Amino acid sequence: MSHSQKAAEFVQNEAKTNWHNETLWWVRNKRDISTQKIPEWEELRSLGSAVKENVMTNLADYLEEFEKNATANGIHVHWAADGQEHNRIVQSILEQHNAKKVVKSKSILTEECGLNHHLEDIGIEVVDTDLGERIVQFAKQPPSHIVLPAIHMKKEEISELFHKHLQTEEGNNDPQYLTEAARQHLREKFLNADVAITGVNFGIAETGGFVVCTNEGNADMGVHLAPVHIASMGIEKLIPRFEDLGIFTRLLARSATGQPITNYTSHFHRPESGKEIHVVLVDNGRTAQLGREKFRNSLKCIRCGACMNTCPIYRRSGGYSYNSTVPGPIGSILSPGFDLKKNKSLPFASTLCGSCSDVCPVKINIHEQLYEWRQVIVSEGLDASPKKFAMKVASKVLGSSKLYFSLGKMARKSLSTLPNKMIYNNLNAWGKQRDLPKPPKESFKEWYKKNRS
Amino acid sequence: MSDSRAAILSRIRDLNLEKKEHPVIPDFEKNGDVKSQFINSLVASHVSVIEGNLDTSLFEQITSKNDIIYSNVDELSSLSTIQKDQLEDQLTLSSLDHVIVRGEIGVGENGAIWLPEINIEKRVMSFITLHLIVIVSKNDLVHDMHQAYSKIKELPGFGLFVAGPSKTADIEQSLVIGAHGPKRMTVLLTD
Amino acid sequence: MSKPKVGLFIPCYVDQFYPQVAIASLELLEKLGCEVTYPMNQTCCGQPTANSGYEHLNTSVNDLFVDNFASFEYIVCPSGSCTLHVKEHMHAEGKPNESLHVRENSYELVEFITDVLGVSEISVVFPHKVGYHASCHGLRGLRLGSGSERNIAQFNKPEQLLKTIEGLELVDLDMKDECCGFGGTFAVAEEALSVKMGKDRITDHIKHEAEVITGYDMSCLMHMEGIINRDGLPIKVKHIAEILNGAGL
Ligand code: SF4
Repeated sequence: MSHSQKAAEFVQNEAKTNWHNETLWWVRNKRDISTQKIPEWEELRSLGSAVKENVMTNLADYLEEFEKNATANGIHVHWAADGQEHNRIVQSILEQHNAKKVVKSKSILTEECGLNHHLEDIGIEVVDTDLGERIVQFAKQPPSHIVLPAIHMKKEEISELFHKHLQTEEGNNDPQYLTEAARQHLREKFLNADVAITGVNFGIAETGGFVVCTNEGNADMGVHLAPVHIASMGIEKLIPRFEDLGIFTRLLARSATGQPITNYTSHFHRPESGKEIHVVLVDNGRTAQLGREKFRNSLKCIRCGACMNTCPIYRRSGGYSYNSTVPGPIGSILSPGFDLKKNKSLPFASTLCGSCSDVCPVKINIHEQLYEWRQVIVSEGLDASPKKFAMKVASKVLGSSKLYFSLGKMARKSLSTLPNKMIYNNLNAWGKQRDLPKPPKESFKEWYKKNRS
Repeated sequence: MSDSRAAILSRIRDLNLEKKEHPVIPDFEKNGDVKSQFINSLVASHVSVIEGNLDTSLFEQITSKNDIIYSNVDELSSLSTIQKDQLEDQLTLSSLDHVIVRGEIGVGENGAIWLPEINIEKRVMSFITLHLIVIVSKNDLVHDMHQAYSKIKELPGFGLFVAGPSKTADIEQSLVIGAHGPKRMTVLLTD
Repeated sequence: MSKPKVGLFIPCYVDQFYPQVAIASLELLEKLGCEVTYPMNQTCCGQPTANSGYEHLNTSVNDLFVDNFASFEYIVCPSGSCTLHVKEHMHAEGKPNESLHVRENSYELVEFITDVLGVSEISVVFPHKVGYHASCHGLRGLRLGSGSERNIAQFNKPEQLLKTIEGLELVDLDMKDECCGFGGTFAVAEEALSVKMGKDRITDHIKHEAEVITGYDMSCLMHMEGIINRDGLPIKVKHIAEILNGAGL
């Protein structure tokens, strides 16, 4: 199904659409208030963008530097060309340790690789420990937002899920009560886990360490209790220097939720004695995106989610309407690189309003890339043929002043003389819920000819 | 070394991208009183702040009689109700009521406090306890994260900026304190 | 000082459906001392096709545009969206200098009045409550205002002019620069969302008791007007050129 079909379904439930819209706008608002407290905010965005530019254009060197320093720190570094290899690497680490129970903290990358399914298929218990992720895991759904995984659910639905899975009281919708139930359930999982898997927010080439940011502390609970920590990291997550963290820790949380910093910003450089840390560096299409000049800087993304919260489309169509691991504006410029055909409707799910580019903490020109993907999709012949035909006609007409003049006149005339039944038919998507403008007697061109020339 | 390593690196190198310089991070202007900024940030993040000295009597007000306490701060070691080696036992860990540690740096703009591994004895300790108590000296406050990172000279195996009790807003964006980790955090700001 | 020589670029749908907006733009520029010409062979800037992914079909549209406008000192257009498209994409093959001239000297009507003509006050009367719609391409593309996203000194060129109009009361909106959902072919390709966005925008204006929604992009106003007329809502739309030129409600 295309984005427009899924979006049309979503807006059918107007009350929920309004709630979704308002809730995310509230988060966007918190972001505004928090960024306005930093006088150098716009300069920080430029710096963040420039650091990532430096990373992108020196990526191979930084990867090697990271590997060398991390290895010297006693961290095991693995390389995965794609999602499957990533999953195989994780599997083999689990097998070495005879691990059966895995706790996982938020990682969009493992979602992208389909890790949970892979591990469940070989009989491993995988528990997502971020509250929002646990909720969607109970519901057998993917996250609908990269920072707020269960933002599409009302507390009543969550209460029902918890009643079923955690035996909470039926009909008790109190977030405090539900969170406490999850806390106890997950505490037990943390204490018994064999391996903990996390994502990585920033990998530091200079020091061979990495940083994981959470509010709940779930990543830390997992990794400090389990004997083995596996960190899955996209190769674009590198930053060159330790001091760069000053820029990115200031940008990330403020953009994401409006907090001045995430509650826990954990820096891993060496394993705790008797334990292991593994980092899996994953390509999975990233080097291909690096090679696409117009889309390269989509790799600067630090996954703050701000472009989703601000997007007037995302807010009213929900994360699932995008049908891709990363939804929203950034997803719409990343996903076509993975599978152009499957994701061909995504770059069109935008009015090119440009709000995403202006909130993005690393200044990705998201809306301009949406425009560029549209050109690619059309030139690859993936656009639907009726539109193709219409566009060919339009460019003919608009390319000739004579044709334009006579056809314009005809169209205005027929609009004013045809009965409404014929104008507002099923083929006219404009007219389903909107009137067409009332055609004037004469165009401006005609007026001008009479009055000025 | 795996084939994928070589393949990834050569795919990148073959692109021959024009190298862009790393930017210089400027010295941003710091304004205002860092102590009050730090306290305001902490309070906004649901942290209780006490100003005072390392006096064990202070802790009588914030702990209860039969609580399990572990202090990793030498001057306050008498407060500990368990021994260091008991931290190896998961059950004991899981029943910790209060953990007292020393913070190295406090950041005015966001209330974050730097806890290097050496100050926290066991990594999980400051996450698994119900109540985290952090001692920060007024002399160790900085305005922003740039200053904070430049003060970290020695990189610990693990280090943490903590900025409040564990929290979540994953259910309808309603804030709940105490998701997995501490439900309470107190900072003792000393001279 | 000689009069600024302006080539008036009127977007195709304004020419066809909203001639009064074009007339107001022409008269306003003349009142403000410009020598205005409307090149008779103009059609469109090619945005509808380009935004749909068919920029490659625009060869003759672009040729025609550059031919029509390259000789003018300024190209002025009562649409932020079309102006942005010209500034970002106008390129006629074999005419690099002319194309560059066109791109660099194209202005949306309001910014031409405030920035080039240096006009800061308009002496007309419009005794009504007005809701101002900041269309996205003008706002974030042409930077006609500072926008709510960025942490920079606040400015808003169209509002600054509207505020000088006698009797005109600008209403505060809950969301001052939210998209209305027009978006060119988006309006039909994503019909359901587009209409929902339009309704939400209109609701905000009505909630704050605006009698009329104004803005510098007739396309957004046309979209909202379509919903207003279909649903019989108690509000109107009017292009900013008409208000600045002294039109009534
Ligand atoms: S594209 Fe920018 S705004 Fe969107 S998630 Fe990535 S960093 Fe955040």
